[in-house]
Amino acid sequence: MSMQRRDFLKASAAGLAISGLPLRAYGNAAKAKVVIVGAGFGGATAAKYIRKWDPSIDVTLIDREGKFVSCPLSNLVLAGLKTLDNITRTYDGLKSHGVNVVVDDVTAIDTDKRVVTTAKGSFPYDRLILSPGIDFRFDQIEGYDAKAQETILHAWKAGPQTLKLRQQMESMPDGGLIVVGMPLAPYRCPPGPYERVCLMANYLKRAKPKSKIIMLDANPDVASKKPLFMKAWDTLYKDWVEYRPNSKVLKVSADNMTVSTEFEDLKASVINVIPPQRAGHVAELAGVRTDSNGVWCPASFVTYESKSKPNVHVIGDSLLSNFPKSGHMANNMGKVCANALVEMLNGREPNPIPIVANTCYSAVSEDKAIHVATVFRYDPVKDQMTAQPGGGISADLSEVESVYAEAWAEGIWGDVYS
Amino acid sequence: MHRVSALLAALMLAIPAISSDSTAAEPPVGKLIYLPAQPANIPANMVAVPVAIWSNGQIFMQWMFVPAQAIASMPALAGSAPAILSPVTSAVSVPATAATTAASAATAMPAAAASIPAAAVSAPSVATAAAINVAGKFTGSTVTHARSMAATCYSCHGTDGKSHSAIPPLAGMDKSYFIEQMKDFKSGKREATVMHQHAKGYTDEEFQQMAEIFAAVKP
Repeated sequence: MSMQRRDFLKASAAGLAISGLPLRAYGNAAKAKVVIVGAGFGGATAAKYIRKWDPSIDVTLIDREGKFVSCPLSNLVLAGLKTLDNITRTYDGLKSHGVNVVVDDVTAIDTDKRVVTTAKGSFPYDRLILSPGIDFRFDQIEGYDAKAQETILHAWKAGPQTLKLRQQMESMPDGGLIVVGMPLAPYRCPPGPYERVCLMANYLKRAKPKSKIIMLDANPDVASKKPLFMKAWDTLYKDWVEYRPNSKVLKVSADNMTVSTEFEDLKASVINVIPPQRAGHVAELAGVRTDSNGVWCPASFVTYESKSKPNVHVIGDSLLSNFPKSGHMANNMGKVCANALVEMLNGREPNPIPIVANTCYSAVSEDKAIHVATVFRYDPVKDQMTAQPGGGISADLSEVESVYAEAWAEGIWGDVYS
Repeated sequence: MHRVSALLAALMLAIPAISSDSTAAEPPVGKLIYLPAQPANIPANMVAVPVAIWSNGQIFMQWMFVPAQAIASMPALAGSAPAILSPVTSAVSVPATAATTAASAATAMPAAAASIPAAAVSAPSVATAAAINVAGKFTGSTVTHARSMAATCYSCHGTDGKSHSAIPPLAGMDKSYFIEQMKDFKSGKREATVMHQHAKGYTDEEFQQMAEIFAAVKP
């Protein structure tokens, strides 16, 4: 007890000493300008919530696409269970919150002068938020060049490729082989490739029952919701899915329609290879793609301010973190970042102990789904987000979760874009 | 610079000023809302100090590392109680302290914390209860923590809890009903597909804060 007492006394003195000091001064602009690049789950959420929590802040949201097509649920489009229209949203809701939406390509970012340049204009900022998602590293796979990319699709950004991969499946003969290749973690949407295999098999089972899928997983094991996906393959798709761990795709050939790993060459009717990934190009333009491999962006978990460039914040899949790279996480990061920026731009300290949560559903058939859920809390000592105890996966594949999975999508699209 | 290192820098700068600083800070008054787990790996020659940040009747704790040498140079202060911090829950009532020195404000926090029973932080290498009053600089903390936390719900339950899907709305929900349901999810009393997993990630005090936000929304 005396030890504690003494330590306390000392600490008290430290506390007292600090009490009279001003903390770090933050910007205090009359009408602060925030520019956001990337109008996906992260950027669009940040835009909406900054306006919601402080309508005096001027928010410009830049994206090269004129509308949002959701990656979540896009595997249902592959299976023919949804249309692309079902998973597309406009930016009209964001405009109604006073967000200035600019559809254009970002060509340069000057982090000293604090200006974002696009093909058609330039946008000065007090704070910049980057939510550029991922870029693909085609160069990591031999033969996956621009020409091969016309035939061998990733379909890992929902849109035209989703439809094209669907068409490839439709036009392949019954009895054909589909090979799906997936990269080592971390990549966008940990359960996504496994969900894709389930839903492709769901289509084959209905439409081309003599066909089969071989999944080449670079990871040593199913990287997400393992028991549930294994159960889906065992009980629903036993004749249609063959799963191969430790099978990194090293080489593809569109001319021969082959995929090669260290162990084998496979000839297939449809080849779908999801390449390794890194933070989107925009992050490189800003000089924030600065982890040891130059792949992801280190940033604060309190403010999402880049560790390499002041006044530049990074959220979503581009972030270097232990977070699953999911739309739900990007949405939550968008809110924490918005919350922090609103405080800082008003001369106040940001919330020191942010919490984010992930809820990620995967469809395994036309009427069954599964989820994983985790709450993360900031630990200031370790400077990391700690997964709270209690998170986990579904008890089983279920119909009720299929209903919730759709409701989740409606909910989050509404939260971001309405 | 993230927040803790900012505080640490402030601490380092402040040390020479201790003896001349007689401006007593306002003591923390309110409920202890959050105390993270005690750090396991404390760097050599450092001590982990729990730091209080408070406003609007709510107190958040964080651990920060402080050079042991800096701590050792502090003058001992009289009239204070030993600090025992409990993770979460109980109300921290701050009694008037008898101390009349400049130390009085800082002693108030641990004196209050000492009234919290059970689950005491006991590692002797960990210094306890430094209180940093950032009131005024930090008026938004409770509000912004709560609104940020409630916003984690909006992803599924709709912005402001206004759901338009099979997921139940939270907007306008009765406060005590919300808290009860969250506690029941957490304990397993109420069955769920996913809410039991989320509920375990938040403290009971945080349920209260969220409940207040949702109750205030017109459905």
